[in-house]
Amino acid sequence: MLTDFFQHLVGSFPALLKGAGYTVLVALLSMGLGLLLGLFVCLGKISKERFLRVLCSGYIDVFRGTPLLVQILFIYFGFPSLLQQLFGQPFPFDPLVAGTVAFTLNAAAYIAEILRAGISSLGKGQLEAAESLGLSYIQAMRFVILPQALRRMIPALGNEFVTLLKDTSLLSAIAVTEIVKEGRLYISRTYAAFPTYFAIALLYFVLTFIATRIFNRLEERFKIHD
Amino acid sequence: MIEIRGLQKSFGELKVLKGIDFAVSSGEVVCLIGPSGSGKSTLLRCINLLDTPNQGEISLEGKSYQTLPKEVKELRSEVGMVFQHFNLFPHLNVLENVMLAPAKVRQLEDGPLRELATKLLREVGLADKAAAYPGNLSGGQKQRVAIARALAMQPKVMLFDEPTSALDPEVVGEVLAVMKQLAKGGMTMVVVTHEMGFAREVADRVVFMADGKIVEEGPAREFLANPQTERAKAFLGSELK
Ligand SMILES: Nc1ncnc2c1ncn2[C@@H]1O[C@H](COP(=O)(O)OP(=O)(O)OP(=O)(O)O)[C@@H](O)[C@H]1O
Ligand SMILES: [Mg+2]
Repeated sequence: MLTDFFQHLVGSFPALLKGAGYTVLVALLSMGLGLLLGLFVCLGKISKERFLRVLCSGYIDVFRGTPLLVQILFIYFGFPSLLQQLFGQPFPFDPLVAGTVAFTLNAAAYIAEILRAGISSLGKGQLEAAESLGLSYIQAMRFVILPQALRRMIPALGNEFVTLLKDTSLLSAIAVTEIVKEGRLYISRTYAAFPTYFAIALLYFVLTFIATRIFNRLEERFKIHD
Repeated sequence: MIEIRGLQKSFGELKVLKGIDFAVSSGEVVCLIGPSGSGKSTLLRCINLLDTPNQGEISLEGKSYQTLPKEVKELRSEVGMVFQHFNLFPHLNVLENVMLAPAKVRQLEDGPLRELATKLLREVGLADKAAAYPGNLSGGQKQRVAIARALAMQPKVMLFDEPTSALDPEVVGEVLAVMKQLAKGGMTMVVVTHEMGFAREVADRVVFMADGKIVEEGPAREFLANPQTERAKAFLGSELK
């Protein structure tokens, strides 16, 4: 029994590790792209242009107000089928790309809100001081506001990244061979459900543990002494 | 140097400035005094268009400035401002605080800029703090850095909004000393302050505001010793207590 457990734990590991490669890849890509997109969404939401504000608020509300799984299915199945109806030819979508797009769009909504909170926590004084020196709004954002907001937001961004890592398990629904999918494949060959799911849980735990440590380091490194 | 005509400013229904005419000539030091809520800060903030006036004209050295972004930016780069709460950039060290704006706005080269910044820090007595972060400075030191930071843009005018009100009493003197030295050097200055001693000693002129209007003004010593209007008398009486 116990030897069985360890045998499958070890046996499932190469496949799971391969899956972890996709998990980390999608999480890193969507975190990076999500930061970039989230930055623009955030700047739109706090801009003076009413149109931009409404657009960006709408974006944030939609992506935070619907389940991530639905977003993934929508992008992977929904869009290609719409395009197929419109143009009369199939639009195959790589599941990995679809998954990354879905995660990026979703992460951007959360990151935009995180950034906005970071910016408003700075108060008006910083922007006024920068502008009083002759910096333009964009320069003030770039050199004064965002560097501080981002540093303050490292813990929240760390949480977002850990959430991303865990949520990539949803990609098994569209046949990306990430950790859970690889695990299921292994189980279907061996029927060793307990050791495999144990190994899956362990692997996620190790990944999130490492990510948390890295973000703690970053937080220490970029601490603002005020 | 600065000329303001017919300046009006409201926040929603609240009329804060009700038609201000105000001029400062080159090299002059003007102290702006008045009760809380009289609009002193708002006037100062309108001078560099941090607040947008509803009406009136602002000109600097004969050039009139509208609220187009490019003009606003130009005006602000010619007018230095020192805030009550310093507003130093906490993620940058002292030298970087001083160098940021001239580097980005004036595109000064690193070498000469570093020299300028170091010279300014020496003048405010903080040459040894160049590498320190604002979080590790006392209030008085922070305010002196803020002054150096504003001076680094080589402004034509310096505006001070209660620069010593947030300071512990024992460090007020060091900041006033820097301002005094600046005044002696010929800088044009507008200072909102409750420090009547400073006004008497350093200012050329005192302007007294109440309820969004300039009520009385005059040469500093004369005005402070012998105000004409009842409001100014009452205000000075309470300030000196
Ligand atoms: N951004 C703003 N929005 C709304 N009201 C404002 C704003 N800024 C100032 N006020 C109001 O305008 C009036 C004048 O404010 P201001 O700060 O200019 O006064 P002050 O003379 O500087 O007073 P103090 O000595 O307290 O600094 C006050 O009633 C204040 O509440
Ligand atoms: Mg004020």
